[in-house]
Amino acid sequence: MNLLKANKAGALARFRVMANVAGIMSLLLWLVYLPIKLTATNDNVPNAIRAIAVVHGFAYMVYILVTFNYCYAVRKPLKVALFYMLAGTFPVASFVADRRAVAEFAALNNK
Amino acid sequence: MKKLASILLVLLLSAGFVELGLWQLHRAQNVQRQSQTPPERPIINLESVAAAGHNLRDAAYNRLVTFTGHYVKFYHAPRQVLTANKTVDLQAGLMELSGNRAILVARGVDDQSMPARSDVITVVGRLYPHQNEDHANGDASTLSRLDPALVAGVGSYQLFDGYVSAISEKDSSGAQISGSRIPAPQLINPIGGFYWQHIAYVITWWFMAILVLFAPFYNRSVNRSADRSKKVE
Repeated sequence: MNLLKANKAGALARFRVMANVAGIMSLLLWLVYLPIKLTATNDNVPNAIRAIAVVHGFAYMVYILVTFNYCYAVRKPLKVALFYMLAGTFPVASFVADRRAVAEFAALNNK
Repeated sequence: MKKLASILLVLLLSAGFVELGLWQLHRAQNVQRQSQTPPERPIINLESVAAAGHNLRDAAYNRLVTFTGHYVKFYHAPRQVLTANKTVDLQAGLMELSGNRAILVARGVDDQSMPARSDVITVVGRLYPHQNEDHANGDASTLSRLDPALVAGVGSYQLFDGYVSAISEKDSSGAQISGSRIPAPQLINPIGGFYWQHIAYVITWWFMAILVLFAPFYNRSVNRSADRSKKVE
């Protein structure tokens, strides 16, 4: 029983870390990278700014994996799992998903 | 019927995600390929790759071309970008070719060393697409950008699209015409993004495809797992 709880808590912790990382990277992507890229002449974007898009790509990939792991561990219905996965693509949605996951997890443990 | 529609929907969505992954994979391959300068191809006649009055084909960009004609008008083309931090003022010339056709040539740096000649000249240079961005204000003798559309009012020539950056010019006796030429490197087409960024998206899209295929079994699998853990508890 403790092992099962520990698995769920671990999945939640991993999800929370990646939800925040993906959220920060989405904010940087939408508010820094995209405006610079769209206004740059001849795609002349500094490498440090380009790196935002690369890190975002990998962060979202890991986010999808840990989200699936978390949703499966706490038996989320498919529709909710999809909501959590899509949340990683919008700047603040993953922060909302993180808050919601913590609240739901607390409610689940208090049952 | 409903089951069949669900299966079709899952297969369609999954195929869509696989296709999106392939699209990103091709972009990654393009980024890798286009970041390397392609090998130089032999010099060919301008007419072999371009035709007056028609848009330049992609295959014509970057080709080393040669043609013979005489200059009918010279222009000043200010603030042309040479490297990332260096701009120069160029001399451009409208060269009339046989058959009432003409092409815009960036001859070199617009200084005293560049003679304005109107005799028959053979040019070797690299063919570039026309510029879209103004570098300066234009007037009758100044080109704001290297674009044949700006010289369309001169004579009644059929103009070639794009422009040629001259590497060498020879007169009818075969003597080189001196002047401060500028480097004419192959243009590398920028494609947005980095190789590894596209690879990350490839994995994400293909993982989505697997998830969609797994979706019809997801709820059943979750319920079975819940039953199992209840038994353990």
